[in-house]
Amino acid sequence: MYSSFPVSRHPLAVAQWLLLCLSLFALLALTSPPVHAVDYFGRSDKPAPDASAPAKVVEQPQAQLAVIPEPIRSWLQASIRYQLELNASIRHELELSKGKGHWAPGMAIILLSFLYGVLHALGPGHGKVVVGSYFLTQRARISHGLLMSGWAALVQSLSAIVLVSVFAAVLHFSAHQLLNQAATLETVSYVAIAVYGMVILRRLSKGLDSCGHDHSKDGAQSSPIAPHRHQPHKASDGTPHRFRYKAMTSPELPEPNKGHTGRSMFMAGTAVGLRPCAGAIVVLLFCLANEIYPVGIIATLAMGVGVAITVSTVSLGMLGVRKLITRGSSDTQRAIRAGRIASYTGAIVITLFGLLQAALLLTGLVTPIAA
Amino acid sequence: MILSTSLFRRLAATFAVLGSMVCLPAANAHPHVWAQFKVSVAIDAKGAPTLQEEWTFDEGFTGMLMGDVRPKGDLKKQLNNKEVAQLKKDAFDNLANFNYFNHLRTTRGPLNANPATDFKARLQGNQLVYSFSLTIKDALDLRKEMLEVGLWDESYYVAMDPESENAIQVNAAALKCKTNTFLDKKSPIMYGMIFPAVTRIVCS
Repeated sequence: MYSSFPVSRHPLAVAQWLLLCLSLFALLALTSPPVHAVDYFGRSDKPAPDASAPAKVVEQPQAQLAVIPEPIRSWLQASIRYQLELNASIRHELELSKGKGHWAPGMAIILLSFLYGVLHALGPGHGKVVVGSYFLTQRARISHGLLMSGWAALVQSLSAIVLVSVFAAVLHFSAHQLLNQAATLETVSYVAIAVYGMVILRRLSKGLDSCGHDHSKDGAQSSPIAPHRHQPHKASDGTPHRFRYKAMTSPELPEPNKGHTGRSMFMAGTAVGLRPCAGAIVVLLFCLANEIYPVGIIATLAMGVGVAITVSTVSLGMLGVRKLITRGSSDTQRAIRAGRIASYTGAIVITLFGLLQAALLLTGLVTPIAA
Repeated sequence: MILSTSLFRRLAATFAVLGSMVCLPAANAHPHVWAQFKVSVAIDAKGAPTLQEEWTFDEGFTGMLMGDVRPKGDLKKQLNNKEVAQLKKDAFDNLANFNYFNHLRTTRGPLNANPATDFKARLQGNQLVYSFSLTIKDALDLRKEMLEVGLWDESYYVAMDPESENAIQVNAAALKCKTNTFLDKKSPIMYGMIFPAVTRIVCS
């Protein structure tokens, strides 16, 4: 009954269509005035306050929920200091590379940009919440963590390169206008993240994903269309096996659906990476103004590799945390139920995170690009 | 009972890690702009302060701003009046809505600054430098109460760093003032990754 529509063939097809629609929306958004204007300092553009108006109490900075413990706090603080130094070094090398064919400044720019990317991604942002939540709550492999993190970082780099190439290099937008368009992309990215969370929920409701491979080839009872009751897996000798990453590749288990995984990684990376990093935009604009734009593109990609390393570390860390938490759990209906509760919670968190951030941006409660 | 105690603990641990991760995005941005500041607080005989501030931006931000001000962001010649006016309009005036990142406090609470005056911008090598003066909108007599001065962007999009340990200095010929600079642990930025420096000024 669904055969005439591609959505019926695969639940992920829904998301692909939605992502296509969102991409078109992004294109439209980029060519229309931004909903939420920001200034060069990442703050909402507002009319100047009335100097003659009586003084009103300045808002106190909001007390934060938690403080990072030592020595992590000192390390992170040091990473910000190093970012400043790397930033200055990159500018210096970019200046040296102007109008010269020397390879040394170029190599230095690549190395410095890579290091900058590693440190820059230590702070909030760069999809760590979505990628980390996914690998904490969903059953996945190490290679999935590396793939998703790498793809997200690549998309983020490409997003900045396309944005600056089209709007600054071709259409001659100012940096101010460009930052506003980046802010629009940020909103689109959060909507895409929410859609991705919904896709995970849909797959879970169809009995897919929570065990790391789908049951679409197990028989009619467990097809993607017909919801099935999830039974404990059994090895070929009939004994239940424990969920281990190694075990998931053993020949007696159903083959993981590579198509699902590839599409899933593609969607997640695209949703997370759609929002360009303001740091990359600044580097590209600097290079564009100094007529060394190709160097800026290489620097941005090197930065993306650095970001990928940090985000991969987070995703692998979350996989490790999940492994620790589930270590020693017996393969019972209760263990499966607990795993499914965690999977559902993760998917709900990703959905709500995307929806909440998009709503906060659209209502002006949070300033884009500063988030 | 649907779940055993052991499974419940495992789930609780998962949710605890998940919850702490989801809290993090509210911490806003890692820095994209760096500015070093120094402030001279001039206090008149009636105890009214005027803050004379100088901000020096990093080369990247300078390059981006200058790209909007002049073709190819040329940094070799100084800014003319028209360019300074453009910078003031496009890349400074909006900060009035955010107290120019100034956090001014007395025992009564936070204070507002008036719109900045004497705005100037110049190029110092590859770095853009802003200088301006701020007066305080609220009534304040430093002969009778203390003043705390700190500069930070709580979103941390801009990392405001003091130029030196004595970046905030007092110039009060008519009064005897003492300063004490400390890290304000009640105003953590980025979940306590950074504690801003605050200078307390006490005059008599």
